[in-house]
Amino acid sequence: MSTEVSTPAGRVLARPAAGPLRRLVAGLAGRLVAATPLTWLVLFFAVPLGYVVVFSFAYATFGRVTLGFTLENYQEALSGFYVTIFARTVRFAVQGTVLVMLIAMPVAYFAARKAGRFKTFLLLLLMVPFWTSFLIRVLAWKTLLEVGGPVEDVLNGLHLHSGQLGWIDSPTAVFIGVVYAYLPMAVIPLFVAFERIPAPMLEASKDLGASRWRTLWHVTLPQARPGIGAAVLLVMIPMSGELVVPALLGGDRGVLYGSLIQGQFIQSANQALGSAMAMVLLVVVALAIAVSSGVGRLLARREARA
Amino acid sequence: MTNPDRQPRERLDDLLARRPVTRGGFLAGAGLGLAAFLAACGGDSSSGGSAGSSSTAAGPPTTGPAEPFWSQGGELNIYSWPDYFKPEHLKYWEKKTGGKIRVSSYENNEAMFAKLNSAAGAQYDLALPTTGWVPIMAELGIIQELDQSRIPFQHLDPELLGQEFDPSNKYSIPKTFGTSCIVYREELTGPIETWDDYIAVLQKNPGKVSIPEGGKGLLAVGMAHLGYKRNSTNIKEFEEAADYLIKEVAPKAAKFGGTFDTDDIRSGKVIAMTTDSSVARKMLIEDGELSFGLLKPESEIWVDNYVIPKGAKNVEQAYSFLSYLLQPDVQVEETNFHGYASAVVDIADKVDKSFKHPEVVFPTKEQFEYLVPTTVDQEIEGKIQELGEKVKASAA
Repeated sequence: MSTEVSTPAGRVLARPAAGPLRRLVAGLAGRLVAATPLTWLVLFFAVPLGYVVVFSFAYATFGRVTLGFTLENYQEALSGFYVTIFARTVRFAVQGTVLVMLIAMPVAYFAARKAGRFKTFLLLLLMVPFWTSFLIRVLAWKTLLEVGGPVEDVLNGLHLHSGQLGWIDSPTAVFIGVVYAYLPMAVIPLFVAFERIPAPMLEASKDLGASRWRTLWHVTLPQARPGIGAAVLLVMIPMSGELVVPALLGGDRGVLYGSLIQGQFIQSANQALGSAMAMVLLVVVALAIAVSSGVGRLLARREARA
Repeated sequence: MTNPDRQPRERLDDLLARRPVTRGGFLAGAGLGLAAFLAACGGDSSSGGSAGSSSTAAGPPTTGPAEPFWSQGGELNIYSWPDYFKPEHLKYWEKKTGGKIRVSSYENNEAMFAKLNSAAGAQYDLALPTTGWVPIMAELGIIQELDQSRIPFQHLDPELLGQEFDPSNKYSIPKTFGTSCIVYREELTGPIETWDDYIAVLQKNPGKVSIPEGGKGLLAVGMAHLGYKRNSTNIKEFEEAADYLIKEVAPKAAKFGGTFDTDDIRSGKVIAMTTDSSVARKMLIEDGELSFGLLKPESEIWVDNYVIPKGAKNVEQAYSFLSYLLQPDVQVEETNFHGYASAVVDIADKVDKSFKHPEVVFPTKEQFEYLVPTTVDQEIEGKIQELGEKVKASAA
């Protein structure tokens, strides 16, 4: 491989002893290393995606797909009911993301800049829940929020609430569930972003007489923008496909797009329509990413000019 | 158990007499007990037809091997509803054959169908679809024809054999049957006898009454109110039912589904819920204050059936397992264990005297009058599912 000789380290490796054979072996090994993740991606990402694309244009009968070319599935996926649910899902994802960000930003900021020697420990605490299955954690919330459950007891005990707690099987429980589930996804990129802001910049801002809020608004947040963007995408995208939390904590009231897609594959046994709906979601998400990264670049350029 | 109301043979003959016969000529040929009762099972579209009409009118065999036979070693992969076999029976078969049993479970027919309909289906040797799913799976070539000479038919309740969807049991053997019922706290709701009573309780107590999870089970609540049959083939009626549910019922429902959420009624979160006969029995055993109901004008009865998937690799083991499990004493023990009525003759009289709440598991003659199996009509099933989703979506 050419990198071997193009870097100084490579030149050291390519001593006279390393003949063409040895270089060939090293090259093959390098290719093998690169090929492994590529194979994995092709097998488990590109191939299934290919199926979805092909199926989305196919004809469907109950439990069977006949290959062909039709736009009927897309027509249906973009009609009345499905579009309404799509819009609701986007609203749900936006609301959920705003909630997650409102909590994640102060948490990440504190962990990154104020926690001192506990920094690593706090980060570790954030990761701990990932050691347990996602389903079990959501089911734990079901127990906590249940009528007669611990949360109800505590709220009643503190006189913040009286009587039965009607959160379970309602949107309140769903939002609690998604905020809990996606919080670490947002905190980690934000943590990195906040941690990397050089302290002298904040000190300079203070020295020049800026208030704390002004420093936050004009120095900290712009510096953390890439982290904020990453956090928003990491939370909002999987949330638009969410189906477990509403089913377990929301009593299945108010269907979201993710469960509609799942329903097409399972209950309705209509893989073609399910595939078309999955494609619609995929394309919209891809567009959203493109637009947001475009906006990010635009803002960065404007700032550079200013 | 001497309650005359619970004589299975009597009540099943009775069923035969009263069901509207949707496919008269054919049924007259098949002319078999529950067949008429399950008439609607293949009564719509082409689904039941091809599985049924291709077979002769000979009906299922009445004999089979007298003793269980034991395969040698190997393994047996069962795809089943959860907790559906007594563990001791599985262990006994393993001991006798030296084989290994692996059980994977599913929670609804749709998921089972999707799995068996995919490449992953080949890993199973036995599955347990509910009534209406058998003809579809036969038609799509997902399950194989059984070698009937290896099944001890003489032990099975003849009334449960030869149903219209599989008139000579070419593809399926009945395992157990049960009902979709309700459990409620009568002191808070008053008596509940019909779906209209149930809806009235729900409307009077918003957020305190659950309704079925989705699909036909959910729409059936509206169908009952409007006076339509739950197995109607007219999608317009289902649309009306969905409209009604969206306007009058869904906004006040506590939740959709939750058949197994027995905590809900214990904690007082709900005062009435839809569930399944075995779960209902467990709840009644735990809490004597609860009441059980099979609602008029129609409630669901289901029969789960053994089938062997097309690509099964351990067919020998599957037949061996069936020849053992279908022995009457084993079947009765199974019922004592899981609380569903096994497809063995006079099961209601054979279960332990200590079997609690038999009234939940073995419906009376009078109740059998209005019990209906759920059919799957390929033509409109997708649409029905979509309507169910619309009802759920409206309750946000």
